[in-house]
Amino acid sequence: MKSYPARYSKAQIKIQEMAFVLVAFVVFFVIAGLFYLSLRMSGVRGDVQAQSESDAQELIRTLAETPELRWSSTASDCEGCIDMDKAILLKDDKLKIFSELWNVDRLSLEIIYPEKNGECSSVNYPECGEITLLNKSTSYKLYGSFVSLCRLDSSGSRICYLGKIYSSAKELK
Amino acid sequence: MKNKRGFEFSFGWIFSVVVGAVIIALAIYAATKLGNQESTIATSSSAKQFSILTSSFETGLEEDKPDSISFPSESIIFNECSLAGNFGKQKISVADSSSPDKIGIAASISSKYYFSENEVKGKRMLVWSKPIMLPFKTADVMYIWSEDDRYCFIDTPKLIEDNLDRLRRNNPLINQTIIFATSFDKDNLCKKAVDVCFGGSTNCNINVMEDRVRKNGKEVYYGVTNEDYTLLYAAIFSEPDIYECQLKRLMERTTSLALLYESKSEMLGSQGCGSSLQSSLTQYAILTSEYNDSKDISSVLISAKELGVENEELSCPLF
Repeated sequence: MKSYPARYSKAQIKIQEMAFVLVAFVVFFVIAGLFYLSLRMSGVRGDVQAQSESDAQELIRTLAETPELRWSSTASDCEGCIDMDKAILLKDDKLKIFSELWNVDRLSLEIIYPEKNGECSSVNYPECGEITLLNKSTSYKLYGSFVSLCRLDSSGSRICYLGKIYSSAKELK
Repeated sequence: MKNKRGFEFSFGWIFSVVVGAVIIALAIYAATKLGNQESTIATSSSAKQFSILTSSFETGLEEDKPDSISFPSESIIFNECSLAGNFGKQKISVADSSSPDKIGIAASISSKYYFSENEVKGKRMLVWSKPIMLPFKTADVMYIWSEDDRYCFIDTPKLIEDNLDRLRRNNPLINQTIIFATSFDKDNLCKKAVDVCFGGSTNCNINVMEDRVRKNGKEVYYGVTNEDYTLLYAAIFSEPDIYECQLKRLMERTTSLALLYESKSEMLGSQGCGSSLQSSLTQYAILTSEYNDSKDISSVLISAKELGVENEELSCPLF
């Protein structure tokens, strides 16, 4: 069988060259664009995470003054104190709607001194060491701040403990 | 025959010009899109930062101390109130005033209550926070207006004037944006200002009556027993629709807080520090949950006052 070698004119070769160059251009711009976008997106992601963390830190600063947790008994003023009686009630299912107010993944209160152990429930309260109000994620960076955790005893007098509030930013998915 | 005066355009040339034009057009389009995206990111971030910054105005940290929040350039804040969810949502978005149609993504918060016009324009925004007691602290409400706004209070009652005067002394920006006048000198003093008239005057932008405020052709009620004027200021500084929506949100939170205090009362009772407030709190929660609009606010304020008196008489006061 006789074979015929492919013969291209000069113009055809030029067109092919140009087509290759154009393809190379497009591929280059697409790669450069994707690289830029991924850099930009990671920057935006970082900004959003940083703002979310500011939110968590700001919440810690203001939590002791939120109506749901602030010490409110007029019989004994205690500015900046958290009412543990209210906090334990917020764990109740019918009052869990309050968690909608806090835009964080984790929110908890811990008694530091005198040392107490165990998660609080309606059964063991007040003989317990921690009240977890929100726990939506397992991986989080926690921010903490010292605070007075107070409750009323049966005689109506105030008992306070040295405690800490912990909060974590909402995690980006 | 060959036309020697003609200009020959080979296929290669035509092809490269067309494709080159397409590439340049695409590059311009992408650059414009990216530029718009950058501005959306910046304004969205401003809205979020604004909402975070207002947290430091919450009372307890800065009691009754108005201050300002500055933007890098003249901006517009868009205040939106929504009733979605258990406590509704405060939405706030920002746009640069040079391109007001490019509004950033709104920051949405359930625990904040901003009372302002729909749009507040300026480089520096004034934020004044006050706690609302119904009778327990329900939330901190925040009034927002711009350094470019002027509110001229005409024939202001003494108590309100003293209250606002204290703020003016502490903050030069408040002094600049809140002016007092009487019906006689208002034409001189209230130029380019929003007139806030008390007691019967009708020819004003905002008319304050005994239990209601008329603004933008709409009437909203602030109640007669609101002694610290929290709701009166809210009605003056905010758009009537925003006022109604925020009040409804506040009532939703009051209902939940009343139920929280009811549970606390029950718990203290079981510990031997009983209170007889449970039924009153239940009734109060029902009343606030049935709240429709600001016409109902007076009955809520009266019940709140009665509840406050009952609470003070307890051996273990709840709030």
